[in-house]
Amino acid sequence: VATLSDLRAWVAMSMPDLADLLEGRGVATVVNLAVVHDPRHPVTDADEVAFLPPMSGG
Amino acid sequence: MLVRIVNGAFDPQVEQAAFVAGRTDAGALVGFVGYCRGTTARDAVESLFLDYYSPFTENEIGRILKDVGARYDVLDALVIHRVGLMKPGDPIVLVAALGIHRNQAFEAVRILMDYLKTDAPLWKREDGPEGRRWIEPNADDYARRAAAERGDG
Repeated sequence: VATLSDLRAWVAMSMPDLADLLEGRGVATVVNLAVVHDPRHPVTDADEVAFLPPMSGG
Repeated sequence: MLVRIVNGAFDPQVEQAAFVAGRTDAGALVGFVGYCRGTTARDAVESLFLDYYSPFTENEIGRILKDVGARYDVLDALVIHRVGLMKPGDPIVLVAALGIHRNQAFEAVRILMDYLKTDAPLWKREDGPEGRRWIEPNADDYARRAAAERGDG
């Protein structure tokens, strides 16, 4: 796993229940608390990555 | 500028009093309190659950607060947002602004709320007799924010 798209594929494979959710509309990807749009963005063991479902707002 | 996420009840009156305490430069305090409603257009709501992602949620709300505060030239602004499980009648959010005069403070609070409705990283679930439902911003929320950005909101 070297990039965000690798990580997404790995999560989808390891946790099949999440696969459809990850592909859903409006899923945002956040690396070290910053939104990242590029699926080729590199990731390492030291990074915190979050796949956020569509937000509801306040 | 202060953002606080609270997991549990808060008292908007106490928070507003603390926000303005000791200041002699402000001529206006405008506060908006959003409450948990017991009904929606579709069905009854028994409880509301709000999830968040710390400190991303605080950071993003802080960014909105800073932008709007600077744009409307307020002395200070405050967002307190409750998360976790709450019941109809509970305060969910307090947005307050201090201004030298009232107009800037009124505008800042209104625009802050418009942004929070669409851009705050919060996840809201309504629990009712029909089951549980996760909520997304509606078309009206986006239209209001777009109007606010154009300056005719």
